Amino acid sequence: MSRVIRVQLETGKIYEETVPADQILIAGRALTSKLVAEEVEPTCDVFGPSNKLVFAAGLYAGTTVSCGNRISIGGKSPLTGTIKESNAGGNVAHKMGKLGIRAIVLEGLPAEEKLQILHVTKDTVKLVPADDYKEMPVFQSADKLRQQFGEKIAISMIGPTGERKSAASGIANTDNEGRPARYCGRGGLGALMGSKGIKALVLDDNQATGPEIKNQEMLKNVRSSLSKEILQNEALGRFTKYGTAGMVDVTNNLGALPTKNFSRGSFDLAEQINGNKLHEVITQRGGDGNPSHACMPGCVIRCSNVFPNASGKEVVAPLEYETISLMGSNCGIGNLDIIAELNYRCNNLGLDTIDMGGAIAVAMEAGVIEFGDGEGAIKLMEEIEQNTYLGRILASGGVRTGQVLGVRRIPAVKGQIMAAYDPRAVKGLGVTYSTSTMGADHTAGQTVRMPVEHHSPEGQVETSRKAQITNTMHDCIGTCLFVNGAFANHQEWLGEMVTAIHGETCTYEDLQNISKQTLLLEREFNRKAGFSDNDDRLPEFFYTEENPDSGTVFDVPEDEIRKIFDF
Amino acid sequence: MNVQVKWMTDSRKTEVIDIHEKATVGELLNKLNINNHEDFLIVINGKNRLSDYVLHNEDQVKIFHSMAGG
Repeated sequence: MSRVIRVQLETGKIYEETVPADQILIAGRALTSKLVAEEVEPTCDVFGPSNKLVFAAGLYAGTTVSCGNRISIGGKSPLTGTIKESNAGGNVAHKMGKLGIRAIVLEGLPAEEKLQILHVTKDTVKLVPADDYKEMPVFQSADKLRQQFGEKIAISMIGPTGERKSAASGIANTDNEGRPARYCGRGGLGALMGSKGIKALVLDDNQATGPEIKNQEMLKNVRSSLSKEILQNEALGRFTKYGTAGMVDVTNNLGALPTKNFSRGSFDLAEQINGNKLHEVITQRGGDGNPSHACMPGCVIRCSNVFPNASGKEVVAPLEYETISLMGSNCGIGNLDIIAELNYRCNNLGLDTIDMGGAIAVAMEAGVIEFGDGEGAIKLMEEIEQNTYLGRILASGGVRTGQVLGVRRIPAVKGQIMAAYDPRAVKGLGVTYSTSTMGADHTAGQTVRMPVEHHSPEGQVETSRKAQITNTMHDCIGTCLFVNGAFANHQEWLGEMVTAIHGETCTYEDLQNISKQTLLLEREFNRKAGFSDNDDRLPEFFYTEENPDSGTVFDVPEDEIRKIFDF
Repeated sequence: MNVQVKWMTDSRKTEVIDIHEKATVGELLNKLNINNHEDFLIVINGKNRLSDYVLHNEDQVKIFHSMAGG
């Protein structure tokens, strides 16, 4: 799996390189960040010709290692101005692995304004005109792409907001059933893809035979042990039953569930949107509903779901914790049907649900609509669908929306809205939000499952440091963070599977070192782009305004935080 | 001393547990036949506590599976 495909959009020229032998372990986020750091001018115009968009598969891509086929997409972020990597499940990385492709790089800008599709098969890579897809929503586009290129393709694509270069736009990837709903949502990379005039990458792995596994027996044994470990893990079993929505009860009880634009940490309607309620609604309604669904080939955790309406017809898949909180409790909305509708509309427009939940909540704080007004929130989504000026503002994300509307309390770092953990009540995540090379991002260094007292300032920097290194390591391998628990007593398996697939001896320490080097490389890019330690801060109100449900402010000492990357 | 235990797992049951003075969270979990402490998050009177935390009479203990969002 060593092909790197480069697409020069100015000329339409496509050429291939091979990953050098000494770089074979550089994949996923390690590769997106390496290419961006080495080839993109840090101070460049994000929509200019210097910026690049990189799609990179991980080290297990193309196999059926559980949770091992995430796709990483990176570039200089239109939302934050920092380096950015956003990753998702689905079947795109799996097909890249089957096709022997490690990365696809979109470079430059098209000479004239036009929309194109990059179509990749076993033997060909072509740019195909796509002006008939202009302003077409995501789900309609996916259906049309399957009519044009066949049913078994994988797709990575943008919606109308990406084409409009709206800064909260993500990139949708198809799941096992072809739904374009696995989002690389964060950081506005959909807008970067829109600036390149690329509507979709279409991957057809028909007759592809990759990846070539160097030691089949070794891979089979470790993969089998991993799957058994996952299935025997009681905590991961709860992910299977309740999905990530099982988190609502935890954060609600810690006072960490973002509520009404982070003004509270507990929501009086939490039981209407928690994991138990979600499971109950899905199973009672039946039909298309499915409480446990695999988002990518080979996953045995199956934490995804399919949420149906009262008639049993699919509304959205998946409905996840971050969306339930940001578009639910954070907007004062305690109704899963409305949250699912908002989620679907974001997916169909091509928007990040976290930043959009933040945008709607700050619009509520500004008085555009009332907190709890679900129908009003849907009307705000209609503004985006109709491409009105208000819609354009909202689709630019929570920070820009808040600034336009004169809102002081905007829960964001480096231009990106926080995920669904109040940093005053899960302080390790506050450290991660502050210092992440990606802006406020929970997957950059998730601490909520780590052994630390979340309300205390003690030990949070060390906890966040460990989480950032571990999470970045998984991003570089292309594995889902949730599988980490299954490696708790078998860290060596991570490297052994790399060794089995690629024939290059790899240890857990090697993978940790790749992670650390990636973090330092990203931080250096951001420094050159104009960011400093002074940008590693939460908004002021988190230091001064007590969260009434946790009784805490964010008080991790800044001098400790500044040492987080001393490794 | 007595502590009230509420399971925030499938059962959602609440029970009162009689345990010795100065017992820790870890000792309580062992008494409840929970072996993998790291797979659970324990919230006592609104704050999560680790295995070495010393319990007090009439503490309200909630037991969650350790989860994360997505």
